[in-house]
Amino acid sequence: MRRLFENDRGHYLLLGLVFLYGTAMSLLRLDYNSVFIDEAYHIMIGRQLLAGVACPGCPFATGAVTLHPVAAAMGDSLGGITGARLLNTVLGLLLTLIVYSTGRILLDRRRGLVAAAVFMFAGQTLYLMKLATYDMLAAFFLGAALFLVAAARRAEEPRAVRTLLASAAAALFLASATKFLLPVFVPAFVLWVFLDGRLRRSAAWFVLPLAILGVYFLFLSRHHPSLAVMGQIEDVRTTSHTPAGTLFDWIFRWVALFYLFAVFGAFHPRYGRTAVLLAALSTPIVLVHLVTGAEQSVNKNVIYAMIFLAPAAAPGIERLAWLFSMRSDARLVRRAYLCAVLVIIWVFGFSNLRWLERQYPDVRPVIEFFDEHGFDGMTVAVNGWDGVIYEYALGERFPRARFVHIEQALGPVCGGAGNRGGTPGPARGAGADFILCEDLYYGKICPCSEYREIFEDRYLLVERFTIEHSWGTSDASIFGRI
Amino acid sequence: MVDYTDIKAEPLRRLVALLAVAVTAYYLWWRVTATLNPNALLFAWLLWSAELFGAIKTALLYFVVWRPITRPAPPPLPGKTVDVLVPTMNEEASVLRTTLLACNDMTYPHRTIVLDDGGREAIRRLCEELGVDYLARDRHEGAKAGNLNFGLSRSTAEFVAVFDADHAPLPHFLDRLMGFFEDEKLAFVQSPQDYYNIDSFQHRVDRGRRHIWAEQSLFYSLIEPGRDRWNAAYFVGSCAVLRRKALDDVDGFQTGSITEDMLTSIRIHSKGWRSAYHTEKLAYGIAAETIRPFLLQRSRWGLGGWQVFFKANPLFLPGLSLAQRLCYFESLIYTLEGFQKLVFYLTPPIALVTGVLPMRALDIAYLVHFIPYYALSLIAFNEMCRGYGGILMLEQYSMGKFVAYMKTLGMMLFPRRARFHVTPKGRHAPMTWRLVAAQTIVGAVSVAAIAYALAGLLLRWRNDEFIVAVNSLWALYNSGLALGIILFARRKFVQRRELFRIDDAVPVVCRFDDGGREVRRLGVADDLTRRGAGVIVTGNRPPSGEMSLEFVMPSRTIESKGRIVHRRSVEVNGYDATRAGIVFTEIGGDERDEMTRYLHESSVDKFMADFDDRYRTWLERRLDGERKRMRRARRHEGLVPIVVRNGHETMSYGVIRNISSTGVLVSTWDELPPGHEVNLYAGIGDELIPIPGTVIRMRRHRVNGYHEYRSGISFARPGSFKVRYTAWYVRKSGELR
Repeated sequence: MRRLFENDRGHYLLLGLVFLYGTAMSLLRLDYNSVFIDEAYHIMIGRQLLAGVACPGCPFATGAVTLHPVAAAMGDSLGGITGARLLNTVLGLLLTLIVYSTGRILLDRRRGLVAAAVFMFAGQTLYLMKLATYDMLAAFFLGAALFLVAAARRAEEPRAVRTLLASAAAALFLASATKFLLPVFVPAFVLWVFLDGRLRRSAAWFVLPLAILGVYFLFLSRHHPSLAVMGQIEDVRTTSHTPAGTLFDWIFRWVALFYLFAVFGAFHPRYGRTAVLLAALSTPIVLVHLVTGAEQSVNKNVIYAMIFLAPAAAPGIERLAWLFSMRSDARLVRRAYLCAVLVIIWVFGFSNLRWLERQYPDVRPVIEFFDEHGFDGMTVAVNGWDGVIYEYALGERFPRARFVHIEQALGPVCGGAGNRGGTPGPARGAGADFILCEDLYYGKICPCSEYREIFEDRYLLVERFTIEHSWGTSDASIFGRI
Repeated sequence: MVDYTDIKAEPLRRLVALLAVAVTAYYLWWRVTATLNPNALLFAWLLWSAELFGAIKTALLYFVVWRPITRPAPPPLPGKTVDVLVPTMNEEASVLRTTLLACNDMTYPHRTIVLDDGGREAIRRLCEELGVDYLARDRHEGAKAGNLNFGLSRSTAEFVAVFDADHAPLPHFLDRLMGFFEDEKLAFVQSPQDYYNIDSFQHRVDRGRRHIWAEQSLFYSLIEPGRDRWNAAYFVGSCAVLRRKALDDVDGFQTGSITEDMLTSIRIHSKGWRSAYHTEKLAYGIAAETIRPFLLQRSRWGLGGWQVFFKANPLFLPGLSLAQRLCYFESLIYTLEGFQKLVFYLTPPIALVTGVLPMRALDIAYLVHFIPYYALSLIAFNEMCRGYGGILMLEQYSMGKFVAYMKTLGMMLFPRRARFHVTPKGRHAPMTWRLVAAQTIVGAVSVAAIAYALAGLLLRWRNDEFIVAVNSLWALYNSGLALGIILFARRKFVQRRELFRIDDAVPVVCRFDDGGREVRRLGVADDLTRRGAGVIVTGNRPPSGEMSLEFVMPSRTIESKGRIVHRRSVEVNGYDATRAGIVFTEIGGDERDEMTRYLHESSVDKFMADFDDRYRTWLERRLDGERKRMRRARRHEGLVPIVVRNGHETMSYGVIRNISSTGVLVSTWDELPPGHEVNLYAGIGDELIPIPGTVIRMRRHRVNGYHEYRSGISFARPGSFKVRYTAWYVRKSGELR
C-alpha cells in the first residue's frame, strides 16, 4: 500500500486506474438515454453551420455556436450521438488530467491524485462526460484557466508568468464564450490575480487580453450573444421563484460533501490557505443560482464548482483520513482510512451518476413509435420545448417530417405561455398528424390537458408511455388524427 | 508551571468560550424546536439529550477553568511536625522501597509511617531496614480511608502528607508545600500526581518532538488550578499535605466512598476550610501500564463519584459556595459520559442501516447550524484547555472507558458486586478481548453499517446518498476511535519491558574479557533501571558475556556486574559501537539504593523535563508570538563518553549528547563555566580523541542533590579531522538508540 502511494510507478498506476474508471464508466453506458434536448439542439445548429444553411436556432444559443455546436456536429457526423458524446468523454478525461495537474502544482503529487480521484468519482463529471452539451467543453476551458493561473504562480521567469497569465485569460474567455454563464468566474479570477503577491505584478497580462477578447466577442464577432439570449436570461431570472432553501438543497446535494472536506482542508497546516482559496473560487456559480433563484441546469452547473472543489477537498480528505486513523504512525492504517473515505466518495458519486442519468426523460419508446408508425412528411405537434429531439432522431428516416410546438399547430392556450421562444415552425393552423403530449420539460408551464378540449374531437389516443425518471414518473401520450 | 496571567490570549479565549456557549445554546434550542424527527422521537430525544449533556459538561468545564491560577511556593514554615503516611495493601516491596527511600530523602523534618493493610512481614522488615515506622491494623474497615484514619490515630503531627505506595516524592516536596499553611484556614495543599513511565496506557509520546500527552494532564495541569481559583481544588488521595486540625474537624478521612479523597475534600470545604493547589511536579509515580488497571481505576473512580453524589451531593450540601458546588458537580457527572458516548457511537450505524434519522432531515439547514456550532465548540474547547486538551486523544480514551463508566451505575445500584480494588501495577495478566469487547463491537458495527449502506446505494435499494455519506464518515471516525484504542491497548500488553527504562546519559567504565585479556572501555548508559541498564560501548571488539561496570554517578561511583542479554552493533571505520542490554547480576544493596535514589530524584526529573506536555494553542501562537528558536547548525544526536580536562588540574567524565560542525553539547557532573577553555577527549575504542574548545554556555539542570551541567562547547578547530571523525562516530552511535 505504501509503495503504491509513494513510488512513481504506483502513483501513476493509481492515476491510470482513475482514468480507466472514468473511461469505462463513460464508454460502457454511452447510450444510457435517448438524446437530450440540448444535445440535439447543439448538434442541429452545428450541422446547419457546417452546411452553410440558415441557422434559425443560432440567436437563441446560450453559448458561442462556433465552438461546441460545430464540434458536436462533427462528432455526430462521425458516429452519431455516440460520436458527439465521445468528444465530451475525451474532454472529461483531459479535464481530470488538468485537475490532477492543478492539484500537483497547488498542493503536491499525492493530493493531486486524490483531487483527480474525487473529480472523476463525482457524478457530475461522469455524467457530463457522456452528455453532448457544451458544459464539458466550458468546464475544460475553465479548468485550463485555473491550471494556467496556478502554473503562473509557480513559474519563476517573468516572461513565463506573463505567457501563462495571457493563456489563462484566453482559456477563461473561451470558457465564457462556450457557455455564456461562465463570465461569473471572471471577477473571482481577476481578484485572485490581483491579490496574489506573485501574480500582481503581471496582472495586466491577464486582465488586458481578457478584456480585449471580451470586447471583440461582444461587439465585433459574428456570433456574439444576441439580444434574444439576453432576453432569455432575463426571462429566466424574472420567472424563477424557486425558494432559496430549495435551491440550497439542490445545489448542496451535489457539493456539500466536498465543501465539508474543504472545511477540513482549511485546517491543514500547509495547504489550508490553498483549500480556502479554491473553495472561494468555486462559489460564483453557487451564488449566481442562489441570487437569481434559477433552478435551470443546477445539476449540471455544479461541475464548475467541482473543478475548484476537488483540489480544495484533497487536503481535507487526507486530513480526515489522518484523524480517523487517530494520527496513526502506521502508514498502512492511514492509507486504509484514506481509501475508506475515497470509497465513500466513489459510492456517493456513483449513486449520483445513476440519478443524473435518469433526470431527463428517456424518450426512446416514443422515437420507436414514430419510427414504426410515422411517415415521411408527417407533422407532429409536440407539447414540449419543440420537436428538436425527434427532428434529430428521425431526421434521416423522415427528412420531410416536421415536429412543431403544439401552440403553433393548435393556437395559443394559457395566454400564450406555452411556447417559450421555441424555434419557428410551420404556420399556425397547419394540421398535425400526431399530437405528442409529453409534459416533460417546459410543457409543465402549459400542460397538455389545457389543449385537450381543442383537439379531442379530432384526435384519438394511440399510445401512452410511462417514462421513469430519477425523481418519479411522467407520461408521454401520442394522439393520432382521426 | 504555566502562569496564565502572562498569556495575552487569555481574554480572547474566554470570549470565544462565551460565544461557543451562546451558539451551543442556540443550536440546542433550534434542534429541539425545529429538527426532532417526529417519526423517531425516542431516537431523536436520545441524540438531543446526549448533545445537551455534552453542552452542560463543556460549559461547566469552561466555568471551572475560567481563570486557572498558578501559586508560587512560599518559604516553608519552620518547626512544624509532619507525618508522612504511606498506605499500602498489596503493592510489591520493591515498589514501596523506592517510595520509602524517597520519603526518607525529603529534607523537611518529618516521620514516615507505612500503613500496611496487607499485614505483610516483608514490608515490616523493609520498614525496619529503612528506619520507617510500620503500622498494620487488625480490622480492615473503610478501605484506604480507614487505613489512613488508623494512621491518623497513631499520629500526633500537626500535618500529614499522604503518598500512594507507588508515588515517590522529590526531596523538596515538603519544603515547597509547607509554606502554604501560613494561612490558618488552609486545610490542604495538593500537588500533581505525575507518572514517569511514559510507555503506560495513559501516555502518548512523540519522542521526535519531545511531546507527551497524558490522559490526566488536563486534570492536574488545568482543572485543578482552575478549581483552585474557586477554592475548590480537591485532595486526590496522594501527593498532598493536610492539616490535622481540618481532618479532625470532619472526623478524619471519609469512609463513605471508595473515592475517599473527594468525599473528604467536599466535607472539608463545606466546613469553611480552604484548599490550595501547587502546580509544580513534586512526586512521580507509576501510571496504569495496561488497559486492565486503567479500566479498574476508572470504574473505581466512577463508582466513588456516584457514592459521593448520593452521600454528600455538592448541590445540596450546606456550607459550600455556588462555585464550589458547580466545580464538584462537574467532577461528579463525568461518569454519565459513558451513556452519552454510547448514543454517539450507535447513531450512525442506526441511521445507515435503517435510513431513519434522529432529525427531520440531514439537509443544508442542518449543516448550516451544525458546522458553525461544532467548529466553534472545537475551537473554544481547544483554547480553554490551554494546550492540554487533545480532543482526539480524549475521544479515544472516552471510547476506551465508556462501558466502564456505564457499569458504575449498575455497581451503584447493586452494591454487593462492588469491591475495592487497588490499581495493579505491572503487566501481570495477558490481554483478553473482553477488555475491549465493547470497542470491538462498536468498530465492527460501524464498519458493517457503512458497508451495508454503501451496498444499498450501489445496488439501488436506497438513494439517500448524502445521508449515507455523512453518516459513513461519522461511523468511520467511530471505528477509528475504536481501532485506535484497541491497537494501543494491545501494544501495551505485548511490551516486553518489566520496568520502564529512564533515558539518561551516565558515563560508565566497562571491563570485559576478550579472549583471556581484560578490556577496559569507556561507555555511556543511555537508559537505566534499578535492575539493569542499556550501555553504549565503543571498540573494535564488541563486548559479550559478563561485564564489570562502574557507573560514574554525580554523588559516587557505583560498581556492579552484569550479563549482556541483547546486543546491537554498528560499525564505524573498523570500530564497533555496540549497545548492550545488561541485567545486573551483582550489585550491593547500598549501590542499588543509590541507583534507585538517583533514578527517582534526578534521572526521572531530568527525563520528564525534556518533554513538554503542553502545546501552544492557535490563539497563543497568534497573540503571544512564535517561540524564538536559536539559529544553530544541524546537530547529530548520539552519545559518546568523554573525559574532560578543565583548565590545568581537574579531570572528570562526561558525555557528548550531540554534535554539530561548530561544537558539541556535553553533560558533566562538574561545572564548566562559560568562557573557559576545556580539553575534551572523546572515548572511541581504545583511543581518547582530543577535541579542544571553549565553553560558550552552561545550563544547570534542575536536580535534587545531584548536579548535572549541560554545556555548549565551541570547537577550537572546527574543521579538523578529529572533529569530523567524532561527529561521524556520534552520528553512528545515535542509530543505536
